Amino acid sequence: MTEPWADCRRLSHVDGLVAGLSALCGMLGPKVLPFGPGGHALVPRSVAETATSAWFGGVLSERSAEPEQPLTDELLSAAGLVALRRPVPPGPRVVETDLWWATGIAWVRLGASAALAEDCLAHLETRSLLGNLLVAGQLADALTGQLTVDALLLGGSRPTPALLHEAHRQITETDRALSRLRGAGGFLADGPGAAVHLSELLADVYLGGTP
Amino acid sequence: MIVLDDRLCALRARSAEWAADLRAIALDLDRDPDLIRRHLNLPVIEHIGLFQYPRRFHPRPLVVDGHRFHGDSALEHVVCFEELAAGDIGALIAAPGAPMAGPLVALLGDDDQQEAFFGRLLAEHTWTFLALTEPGGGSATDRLATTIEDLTLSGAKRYIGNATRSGIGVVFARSGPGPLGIRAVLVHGDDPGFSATALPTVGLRAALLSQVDLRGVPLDRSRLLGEHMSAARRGTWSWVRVFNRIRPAVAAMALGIARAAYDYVRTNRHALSPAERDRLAALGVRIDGVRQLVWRSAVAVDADPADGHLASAAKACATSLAEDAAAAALGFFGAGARLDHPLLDKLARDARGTEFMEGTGNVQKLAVYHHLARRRRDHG
Ligand SMILES: Cc1cc2nc3c(=O)[nH]c(=O)nc-3n(C[C@H](O)[C@H](O)[C@H](O)COP(=O)(O)OP(=O)(O)OC[C@H]3O[C@@H](n4cnc5c(N)ncnc54)[C@H](O)[C@@H]3O)c2cc1C
Repeated sequence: MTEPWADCRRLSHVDGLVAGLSALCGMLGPKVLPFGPGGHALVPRSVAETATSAWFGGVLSERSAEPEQPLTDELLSAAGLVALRRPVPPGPRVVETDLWWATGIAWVRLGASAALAEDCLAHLETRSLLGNLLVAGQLADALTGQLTVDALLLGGSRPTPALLHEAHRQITETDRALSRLRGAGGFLADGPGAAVHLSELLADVYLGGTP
Repeated sequence: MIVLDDRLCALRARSAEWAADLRAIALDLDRDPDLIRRHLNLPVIEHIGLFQYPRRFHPRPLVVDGHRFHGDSALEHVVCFEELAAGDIGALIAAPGAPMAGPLVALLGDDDQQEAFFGRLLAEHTWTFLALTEPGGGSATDRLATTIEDLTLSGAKRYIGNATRSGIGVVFARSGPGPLGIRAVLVHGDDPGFSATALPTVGLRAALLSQVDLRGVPLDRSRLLGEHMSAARRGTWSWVRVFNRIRPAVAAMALGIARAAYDYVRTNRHALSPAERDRLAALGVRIDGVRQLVWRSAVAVDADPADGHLASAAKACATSLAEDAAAAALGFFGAGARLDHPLLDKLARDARGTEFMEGTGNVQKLAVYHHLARRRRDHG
């Protein structure tokens, strides 16, 4: 893993998803707002406020050239994130660059997933459920899911759309399993549930569901 | 295979009509759960409230195409609740009435308690709650820390639906050691020492999940449910029966979310590729299969309220289906689907909450396993 990816993952693990995403946005260069293939962006508020150019799969354009529609949601604003939509410009995107970005998003999500696993372990410990075999099996599945994503992303081959869909699907599944184990606390908007939701939104905006 | 008779088909069709009224307010309620107060005059809201009342407190049963419904069979519930939840599960849960506490009071309450409880619900729109889960111990009854000592209730409950707006509810607490020491008591929203605070949730926001604090709530004997029953019957014996009856309805709600997601794709995505058509068809078949299981679980509980293993299987299955169906539906709309299709996003968020209602997947799995183990012991 190149150092900047490692940074994004670590920041997301230690300081939360938004910190990891900020670092990733920083890798694009200053004042750049990344849009996904559908013309949506999901970024930290500071990025949305300061960006002057819009990034569509590596192709930069003047940000003020097209109208932007802000999409508000209380979960987003509470987390310090902003969602935007604007028309997708005509012309091709640079597929490699899109895949590069989706790879970065996967590392950010994986960092947040690691934090969720720790939170989950702590919760299960207070509930004296760590020795429960059903729970142990589910935790092992979740950890295996994280290791699989790690292996996929570090596999050495160039990331393909199929590889990235698989990596993101696996992270979503792992997070869902972990948040179920976290109990209803994992459903709270001011707790780990919010991070799981935002992580899914990132995958949705920058990759979309199964093609 | 179970095929609905004319009577249940009529109920299903009426419920589907009502579902449209719930759908119309779904996203608004998700933003502001209190808006339910503006919609209390919808016929559907009134009937949801009455569906779980004992017959003698039913002033006018629902009549559809000449068929009368008191809502006292689990099969009626699942048929109706799938449709209503396909409209909006949030609005369904946010409706006043006693879907969970009602059956408990009907089973454990003496005549005066039932009169007071259901009488109050009939007199005015009243929300109710049922509080079992605790902050430290989940819903594990062996860890219940809420106590009744000298007719005083103390402790805390968490993730309790509708508690901040409820007029009355049932709280589980411990008055002595062991399973026989657990009691259900009636608590009023304006009791001294009672307070409820809403918790922000990712989904099912209209349900107003709450933290309930019980700081020395004074009780008198009229609040203790099951006083007229033997200690063995008012404890686990009765609750198992009540929860067995509620569980198929919760499964039906999860099924309704899956149906809503599936219908959304059918209505909003045209010109599907052959592969997409196959994917959607496979989802439809899975939904039909789970519906059969949910119906069978309701028939089983109607036949024997002590037999809840099918209900557990149905609940676990329907919850996974709801999550998978919402995710699959989003996959039909490309990148940014969650932002462009708020209803699908809501279905995905709501689906996650069904995992915890009426017991998590693990708890249901254990119930199914215990049934298997018992059968082997008894017949093997
Ligand atoms: C939308 C919603 C509505 C709710 N409504 C109500 C309500 O009205 N009233 C009420 O009292 N509660 C309600 N709850 C709370 C719900 O009952 C609990 O969330 C649920 O029982 C799990 O408890 P917990 O969240 O403390 O998780 P925990 O009990 O801490 O469970 C954590 C994980 O451990 C697993 N686990 C727990 N025990 C075992 C075991 N013995 N074996 C194997 N695995 C186990 C669970 O499956 C879960 O995955 C609601 C919750 C939600 C999300």
